[in-house]
Amino acid sequence: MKLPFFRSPDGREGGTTAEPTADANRRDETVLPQGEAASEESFTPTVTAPKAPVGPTKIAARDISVFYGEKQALHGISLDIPDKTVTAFIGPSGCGKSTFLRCINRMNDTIQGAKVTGQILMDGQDVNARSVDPVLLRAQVGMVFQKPNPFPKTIYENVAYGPRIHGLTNSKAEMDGIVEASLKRAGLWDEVADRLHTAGTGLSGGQQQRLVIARAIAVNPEVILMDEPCSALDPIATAKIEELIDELRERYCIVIVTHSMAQAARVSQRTAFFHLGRLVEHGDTEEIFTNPRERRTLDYITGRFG
Amino acid sequence: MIWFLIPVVAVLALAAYAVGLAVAKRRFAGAKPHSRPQQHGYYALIWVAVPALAIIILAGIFSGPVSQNLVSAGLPEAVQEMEPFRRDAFLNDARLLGEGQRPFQTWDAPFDTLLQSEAARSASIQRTLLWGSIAGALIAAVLGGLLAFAQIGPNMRARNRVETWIGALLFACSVVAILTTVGIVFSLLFDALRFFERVPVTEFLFGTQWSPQTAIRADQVGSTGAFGAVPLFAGTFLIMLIAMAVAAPVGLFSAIYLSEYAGPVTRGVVKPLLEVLAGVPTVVYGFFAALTVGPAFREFFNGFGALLVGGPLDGLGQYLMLVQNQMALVAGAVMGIMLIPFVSSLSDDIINAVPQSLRDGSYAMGATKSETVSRVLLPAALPGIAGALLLAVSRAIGETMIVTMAAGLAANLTFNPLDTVTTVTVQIVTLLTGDQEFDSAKTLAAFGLGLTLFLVTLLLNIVAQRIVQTYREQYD
Repeated sequence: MKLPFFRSPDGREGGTTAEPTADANRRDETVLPQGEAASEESFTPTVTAPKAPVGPTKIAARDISVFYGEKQALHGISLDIPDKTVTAFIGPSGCGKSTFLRCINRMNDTIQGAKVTGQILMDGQDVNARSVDPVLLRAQVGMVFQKPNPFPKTIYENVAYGPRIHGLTNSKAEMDGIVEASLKRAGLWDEVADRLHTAGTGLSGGQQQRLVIARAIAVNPEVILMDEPCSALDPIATAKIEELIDELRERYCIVIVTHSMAQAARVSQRTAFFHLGRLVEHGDTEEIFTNPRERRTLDYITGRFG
Repeated sequence: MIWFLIPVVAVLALAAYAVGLAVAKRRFAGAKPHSRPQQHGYYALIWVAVPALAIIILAGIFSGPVSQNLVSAGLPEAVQEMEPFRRDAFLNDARLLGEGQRPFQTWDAPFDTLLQSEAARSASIQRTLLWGSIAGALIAAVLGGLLAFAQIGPNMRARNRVETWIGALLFACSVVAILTTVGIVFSLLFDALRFFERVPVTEFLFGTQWSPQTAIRADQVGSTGAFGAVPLFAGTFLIMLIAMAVAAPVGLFSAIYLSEYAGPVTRGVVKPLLEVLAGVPTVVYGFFAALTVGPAFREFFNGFGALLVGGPLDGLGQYLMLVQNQMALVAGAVMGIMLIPFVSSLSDDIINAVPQSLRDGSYAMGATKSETVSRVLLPAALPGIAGALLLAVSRAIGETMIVTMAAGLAANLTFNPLDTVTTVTVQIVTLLTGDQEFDSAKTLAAFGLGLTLFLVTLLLNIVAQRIVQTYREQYD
């Protein structure tokens, strides 16, 4: 079996068949490696087949529980996340949706006293397996945080950060290409092309968040995790990010945590509702928002609690 | 002395607070006041305390010189015609006698009787001044209190006025430090100028010979002294460089270990231990350097030299065999150890202050710990770390005890760390300790050195702030 986490350092190997996309002209075809196609391995999704056109299952969580010291934050979550789709996690604060998100790229490893049980299969490979290096896993699973967190470097260096640490390029020209392509895909290129070498922290909040997204896609990940990416932004910046998310969906498996029902309804095709550390309900966004099976889901999305 | 009035004024001020509070409560009956009664109380307290304290402080500072001037203005002619230094001595004795103490010397006629009369006059002038200022302070307190009480009423904006006074008080406190610095500079400047009257500035700044011994009496055989400060500054910078070469990497790396790598248990043990180092008095480091490190280094170099003697590096071997206990390397290394906790504890705080979101961002990109430290945390923390290192540099330049004990006194102009060198601070100490007369070039040289050292550290600090600001503009 091919281990998807151990690709060669230049990241070029693996499937290079790119399906044609609407914004093909926006892409830099020669320089940027194309998104890896979904793995050939077949494994059956356990979720009821969704109505919206979503990709095959990319991430399959099986009985995930998370403990922070004595406290159990997640109780046996099982969930399939499809590829080329936006999946929204909704739920009141402290319900464990961010915790679950951080399990997918093993960011909980960096928290002292955190313990994760259960399996998360990404393309059939357990990300918690001993053989998986979190450093390489995180190159495949990008993450965008609540507060824009550009590094105290120039815009160029922010985007070049991932390709540099993973050794994805051999020349300055290649790096320039990756930076340009990533910024273009994040919809930021036109705004910053003339000041690539000024500080990334000097951008506005919305631009910073798109810079961080550009940084995440510069290493050509397969999955992008977004932890409330718009909660610190104004409505106009939020609209831009949502538009961007919709464009990125064609290439990546996107998981977004949000507190905004409207945002979940706008950007996602699939929705999972968490409450008190348990997964209450998940399914097509349309279905969750129009015809939820559970009483608690209805109460939450109609604003009766949370 | 007038200072005993301060507790009296404090009591009066507290009483004014209580009275103001009570008056305010009574006058507010029914009305909705602008400020709370307590704020009126504070207002009264301020009006009692501030004018009275101002008078006390002014009287405390100026009553001495004023009474002296008054006494010398009315001196009898016989005294006025004395030589200046004898007249000063006479005045001093008159003051002492007036205060009921014993005069320093016995004066011959006619000065013995004059002394008695002058003493009486001096005592009466001092008494008048004292009682005058006491009365002034008390009257000011009472008037201030009455003024405040008269103003108390529902419409008086006591809250805003008290806030203004608090602002003024805080401003006064911040000005104290600045004024003290200015005072230090001026006192240095005054004596340094006297020094530069004797020794030209150019000779002092560019001369390479330091030998401050001068003949005290005209008939004495002795050198005229050489006051070239270059060897001293060279020694200071050599030792500073050695100390920073030890303290900067070790301190910085231990800070990185403590903040990023160590678990809570290790951190809980190591951090306090490191900070114990900061509490060791420098004189203890001094004899550690002189008695332990110095001989150990000498034995090492002597032994190493013995191996080389007779070989192709015979000359070097001969030299190493003659290395002494006191050398720049010992002083610098021990000073570096002294600075480690200083650097590490400051840098640790600075690295910890880097937002967690940057760490998360870096780890989420698949960066390892060391990549995160070197590419994200250190650049983000750089302005702070540069500041910490420059603070350590100015401590290294100002440090005296270790170098006095471990570096030697010979003012050699050398960059050889195995040689004995001496520093500016050490020379200031040796110039000013012991019996000195305060108008020889030798003693005044200390002020010249002090002023130059002050200017150098000032320059360093300005450069440091420039650097920090440049980075800050880039990173915020």
